[in-house]
Amino acid sequence: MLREAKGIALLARLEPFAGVLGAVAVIGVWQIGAMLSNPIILPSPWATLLALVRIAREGELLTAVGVTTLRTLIGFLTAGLLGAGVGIAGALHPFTLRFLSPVVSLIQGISPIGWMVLAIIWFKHESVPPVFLVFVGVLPVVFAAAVEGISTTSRNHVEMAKAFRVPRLQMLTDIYLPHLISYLFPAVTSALGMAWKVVVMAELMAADSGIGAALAIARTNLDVAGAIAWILVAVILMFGMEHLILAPLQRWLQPWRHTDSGKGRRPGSGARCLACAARGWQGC
Amino acid sequence: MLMLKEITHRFDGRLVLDRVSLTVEPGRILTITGPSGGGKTTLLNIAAGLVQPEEGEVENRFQRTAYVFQEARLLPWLTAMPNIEFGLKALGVGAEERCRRAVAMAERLGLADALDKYPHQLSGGMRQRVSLGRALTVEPDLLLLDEPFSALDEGLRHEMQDLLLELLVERGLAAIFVTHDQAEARRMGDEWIHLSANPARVVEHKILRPPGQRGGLPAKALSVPTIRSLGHKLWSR
Repeated sequence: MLREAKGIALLARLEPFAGVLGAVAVIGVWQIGAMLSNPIILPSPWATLLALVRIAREGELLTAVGVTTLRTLIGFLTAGLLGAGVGIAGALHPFTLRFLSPVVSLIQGISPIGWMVLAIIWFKHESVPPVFLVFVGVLPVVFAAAVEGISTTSRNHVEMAKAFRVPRLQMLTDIYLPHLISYLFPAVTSALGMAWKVVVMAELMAADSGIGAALAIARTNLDVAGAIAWILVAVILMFGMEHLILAPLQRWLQPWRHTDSGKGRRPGSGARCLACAARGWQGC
Repeated sequence: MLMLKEITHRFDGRLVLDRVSLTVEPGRILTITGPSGGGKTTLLNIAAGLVQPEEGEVENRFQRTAYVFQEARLLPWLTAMPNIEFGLKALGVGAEERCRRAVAMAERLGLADALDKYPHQLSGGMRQRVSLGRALTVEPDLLLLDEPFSALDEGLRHEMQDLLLELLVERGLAAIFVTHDQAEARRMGDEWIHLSANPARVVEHKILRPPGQRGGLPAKALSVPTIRSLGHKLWSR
């Protein structure tokens, strides 16, 4: 019993470091695997790190990261804006939704590889297939989330707004959009993860630049350490964008979700009227 | 004046309202009681213009009608301040004027310390005050109230009734107050209509106070400090 209790206490103490321990375990297993196998097939973590440093020194890294990021963002933003816009329109007009549903289902139903083949045939410029693949991957996900978000808007809120004769634009900005954001963020986060994976695949098959193309070169040269280094770069980019851009953006757009029960916030900045200014309020 | 004449309405083929007529004169409070699910809210929605009746006529000669719902229906993503301003924004009132009027209303309702709080940070009573503030800032001449205090405990309900009566008298507003509580109906109303169950018909219509003898509250009105202390009491709950 005592031993069991001690074990539980130790686990509780280690809890804050669980993530780090998990990462160390992965690297440990990788190292053991590398020691047991041929270093050409599975290079060690250290060899991979050296390959990463080499790539960075040769100046390839920044260019490839820049090109891939740009392609991902162009595809992601156009699909996100179009998907959200069309999704909102669809949810508000049943005809539009019925009209668009088969189109979106078709786009979603075709596998990325299928789109890849078509994109290589259709588009000449090497940058278009990766952007196109991200676009067709992200569009249905955001569309579905937008439809779901708008159609689950509280009827009580809509009725309240109608009782106050709220104009259409205010209905959209004050009632529908704030609710929609709650649905959009999880979808956008997973869509962004998918976009990074798809863009690298498309570059590998159809482009001469970017992380995917660099991966293709590493494969041709049998440079496994280089290949793993490029894969790591793509993973880091994906998580970096999620945690450094999407998560802060969500906190900024949804401050009410991050407010505990005791403390409120002063919305906006600068007092809007003398009554507020007289009370020394930052904003209202 | 608001006149509903011979209103008949069905929901999914079920007769909910059967030839209900009522009149609200300027400055008078009409209370409506009846069994729950008996069509009181539908009647109020018809009066508000949110629902078109199948038969009958609605004539609303009031300039502006505002609605206070049973649940506060505040927008969770806005703090109390923009929630109070919501109706004013819909009217196209400028930001500075909205702010001035919302702050004045908040002070009147004992909400001055709560303006920067989100609805989930407020107690039930405070939320209902914000909802009342949202309706009153648009300066209506007819206020529709759908069991606004039914979720509050006994003591708090009385305080809110007093506050509401005082505000109605102060502004000379007409109101329809729907409730399931007959004591509340007597206390609040100048006139009282009782509806029957399935379908709702007017089975009783009483004049509780003839025109000129306004309000269930005695002449003494609550002073601003009293209102404030009520606000603090609510806050501490």
